[in-house]
Amino acid sequence: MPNFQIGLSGLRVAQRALEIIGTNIANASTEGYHRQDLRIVPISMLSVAGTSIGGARIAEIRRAMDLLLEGELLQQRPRLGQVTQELLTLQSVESAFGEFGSGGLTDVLGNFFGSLQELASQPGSRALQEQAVWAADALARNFQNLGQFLLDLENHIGLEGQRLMEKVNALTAEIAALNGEIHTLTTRGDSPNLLMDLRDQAISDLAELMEVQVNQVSGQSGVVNVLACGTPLVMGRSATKLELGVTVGDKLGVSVKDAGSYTTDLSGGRIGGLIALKNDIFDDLQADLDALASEIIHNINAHHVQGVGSAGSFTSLTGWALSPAELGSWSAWGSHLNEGTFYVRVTDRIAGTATSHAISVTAADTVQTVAGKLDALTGLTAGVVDSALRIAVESESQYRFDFLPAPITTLQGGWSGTSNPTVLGIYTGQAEELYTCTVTAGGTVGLTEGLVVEVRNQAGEVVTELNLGAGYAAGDAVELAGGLSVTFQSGTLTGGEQFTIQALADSDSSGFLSAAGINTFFRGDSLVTAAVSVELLNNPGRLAFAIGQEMSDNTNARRMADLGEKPLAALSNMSPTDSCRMIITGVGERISFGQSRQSSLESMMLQLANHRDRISGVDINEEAAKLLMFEKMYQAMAKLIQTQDSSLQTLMELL
Amino acid sequence: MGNWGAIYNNATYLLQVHAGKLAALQEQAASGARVNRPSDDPSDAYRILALRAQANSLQNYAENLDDVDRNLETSQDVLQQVSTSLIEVRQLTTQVISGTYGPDARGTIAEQINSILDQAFSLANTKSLGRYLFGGTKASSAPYVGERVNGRLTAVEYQGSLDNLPVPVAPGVEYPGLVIGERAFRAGERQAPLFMGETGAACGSATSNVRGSLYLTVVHNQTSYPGGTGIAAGTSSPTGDTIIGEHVLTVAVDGPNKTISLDGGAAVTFEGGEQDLAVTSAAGDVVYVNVENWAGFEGDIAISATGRLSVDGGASYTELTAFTDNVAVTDSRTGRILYVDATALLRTGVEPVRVPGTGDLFGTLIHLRDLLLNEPGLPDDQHQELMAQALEPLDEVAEVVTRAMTSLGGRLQAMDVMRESLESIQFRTGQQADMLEDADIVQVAADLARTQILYEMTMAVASKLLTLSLLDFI
Repeated sequence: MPNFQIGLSGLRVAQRALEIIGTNIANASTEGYHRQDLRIVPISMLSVAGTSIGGARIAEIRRAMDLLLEGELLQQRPRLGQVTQELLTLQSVESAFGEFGSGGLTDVLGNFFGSLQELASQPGSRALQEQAVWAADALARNFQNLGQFLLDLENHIGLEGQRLMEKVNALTAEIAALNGEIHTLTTRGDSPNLLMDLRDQAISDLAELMEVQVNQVSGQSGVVNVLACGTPLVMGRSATKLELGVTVGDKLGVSVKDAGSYTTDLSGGRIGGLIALKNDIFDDLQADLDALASEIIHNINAHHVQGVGSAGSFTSLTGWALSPAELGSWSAWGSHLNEGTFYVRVTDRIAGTATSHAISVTAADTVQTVAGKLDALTGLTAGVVDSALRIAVESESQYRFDFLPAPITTLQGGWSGTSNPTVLGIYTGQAEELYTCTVTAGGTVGLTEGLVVEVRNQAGEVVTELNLGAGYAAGDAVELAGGLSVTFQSGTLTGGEQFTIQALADSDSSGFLSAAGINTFFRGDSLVTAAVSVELLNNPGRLAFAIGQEMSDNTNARRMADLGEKPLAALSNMSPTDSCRMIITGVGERISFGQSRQSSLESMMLQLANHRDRISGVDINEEAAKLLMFEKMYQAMAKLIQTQDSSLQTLMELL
Repeated sequence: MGNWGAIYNNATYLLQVHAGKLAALQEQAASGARVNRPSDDPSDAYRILALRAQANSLQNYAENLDDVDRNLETSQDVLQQVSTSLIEVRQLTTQVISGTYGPDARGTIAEQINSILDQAFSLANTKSLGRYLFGGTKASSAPYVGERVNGRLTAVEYQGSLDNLPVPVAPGVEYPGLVIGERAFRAGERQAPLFMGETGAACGSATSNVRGSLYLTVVHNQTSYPGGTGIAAGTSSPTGDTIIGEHVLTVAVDGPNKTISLDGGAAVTFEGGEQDLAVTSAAGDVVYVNVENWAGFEGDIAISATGRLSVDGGASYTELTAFTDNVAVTDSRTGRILYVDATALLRTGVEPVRVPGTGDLFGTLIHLRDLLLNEPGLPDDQHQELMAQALEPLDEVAEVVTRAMTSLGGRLQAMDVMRESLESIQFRTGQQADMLEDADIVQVAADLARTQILYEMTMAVASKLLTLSLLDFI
């Protein structure tokens, strides 16, 4: 009797093979699909003359894959995801800087310092004063826009992170569900290849979002566990949900949902990219830009508060809203605000006198106590109005005040000379200096031979000797030191008597005036809060270009202009313009590096994907060849059965 | 041949790469710039930004330099005009000195000098683009303020600043942007005052701080006579005596003739009842004596006269209480002091004083005009003498103005050199920035063509490979 089982087994194998080929071709373009290959093995059905005779059966339908390659792809995908995410965001930041076009940050910064430089040539020019104020306004607005852009971007990062985290949770749930189905089918002895492809694709999608580790679950064929930064996301059939949130230090972190224990130690993938952007790149960028804005504001203000503009000295000034707490508790204390002294100069226009008063500032002071010290001065009233320090003159017709660093001359107690010194000029020294002037031999100014005033600095060194006897015409200025000169009127000087000249390099060593917003150029202290003082915007004549007693020099304008190229300790000893360029090109550097890394990763991924496609992909031609082969096999098996049947018919006819 | 997936991967990846390159090349070709954003080439971007900042800064410096140059050029023109005016004044003065000009002719020349004075005053207050050029840092108010009497300038005060306005014109280089009038129009090398009159006043030992030319007025107060001679001050003595200090009257009796003489001068006969007898010395000093109580005294009588001094035309006086070598006479208008050695002071009168090295343009012209008109009322011979010396202060001021012009000319020349240097640096900076920034258009065009071909090839090959299939042959 012919054994139809052999033909039937071949038919079955060919049938299944054609179905598998169909599945392969149908999924030729399906992402994550692994080609399925058949393993056909012979089956023994009977033994003839000691030789086994039999058909064939499908021993296994397996996914064509290289586990090492798949693992490598899974490892590279999060890296590419992170780089891509970082690049996308950094390119937005780069666009926000607006460099290499007009109105970029370096442009407006350069324009601001340039306008101050130009103002130095014509300090009294209203047009140039306005130009400088508008250039400052453009700079402040650029800072604000940039600050706001970074804030918006941070919010966007948060929202994008939430969205991606939802995707993560959906993917982990899907993986867990697929794990369950795979386990069920595997237990039944099936090969759930398509489900495994689906699950592996979900894992691959997950890897694009965050770095994951995949472990086979022992004893459960086909089931995997998925971990991310040490936290199990998928354990067999169960998934753990994650959430994104802000943790200590305003850092973005990931936690198991509702556990509240955020970790920032997550790298890789788009979420890793967002976390790196928020926690490192943006924090650094924000800090650098804030430092730049803050240093420019602080240093310009530190000069500006001391000077006066075309409008001259003041009748009233009001600062910005301040904390009523002790100065020592202010955030600026220790950096831009310290123990020190500021000098207020009160001019009595009727008496024709100008008196400088030292106001000490300590950590224990409050705005109220400082106001009290100012209020105690003749000609001034001061108080705290709406949390702001307000200084005004007692009588507008009589008094004016300013903070010019004018040299302070103090005659020793018991001074009996009838000729008093008058100090002129602007002190050019970098540090405050106290000159002690001693009349070594007394006499009549312009007459007595040997009438000399010896000038010593704080270190006790003789700086100069002023010959005021015969040959000196009363009223003539004689050079002292540090850009200062002194004149003596006719009269006498008494031997042994002394006077001191306090040469101020800075009339506010405490930084209080800047901190309180008194006669400042800018308001605010950071990128987003930077703005030009309203008083200055309303009246550019208040731009304090002068610090000389005549109020017509350009020293302050030059000093402010020089700040653009002056190395500042808070900017790592770089000048503001240099620092600005470093920040901008730093972002460019990151992008350039990212692009190169992205390109390299993409190239690597392409190679891996090509390699994977060669191993796991569907080659239509190959499948077509197989199709022909199994079609022929099917026809041959059918023919075999037909032949066997025909043989059997013949046999039957013989009977 | 690879499978379709690899073909697809390669095609999409390479199309993406080529499209990216094409976009970048298109941007370079359209903008003409190789670096359009910092990430295009961060290190070059840093250099480009630095060079651009430097170029902008140099542009600001150049504008400042132009501004200073404009001011100084105008100031130079003003000084040139002043200098020309001074030459004209000198010519007029020389005519007066060398010619025989009567008061009317001198008056005409004084008017001409007055016009030049007005013109110089106006020039010194020249404004350019709304700024006064000769006020130092005080550019917003007129540096010279004049006092006028009957429309004529009688005093001009400098109210500008004595401080320079240093303008940054190059990195680390500052030039004074405006001229300090007080230095351009006034000498600054003070010498001892010259007393050019006959009063006997001389320069005190202390250093005076009055400036330019002035008149010391010596006025008689009172003449004192010793007792026992019967000679006393005449009724006109307080206002009529011209003596100051110690003098000697000599009474001689020769029979019926009684004479009295002053300092050995001509003897004046008196009868004995005269109450206001004028006695004149050989030097022309006059003393009025009262001899009505004379009782026969014969011999020398030491008399002394007190007086007072003024340097402000009588607005204030310093009483001569002691004839010391250092009497401080203060000008009430300026507070400045002339120290007078009064030990040899002999007579009243107007003592012309000049302090060489301190004269200024306006004071000199005012003084000259007034001298031509003889406003102080000097005697003719003294007037002539002073006129003869009138060129000295004029030359002194002319020299100051010339020196200021020379200094300004030097500054302008230095600025020209500075401008050339700045322009050269600016050019090099721009060139360097352009070299870094500009795209090599030929290279871009070649790259564009190559990339375009690659793009097309990628599509063509992919299309070809994806079209080929065994299925077509089944």
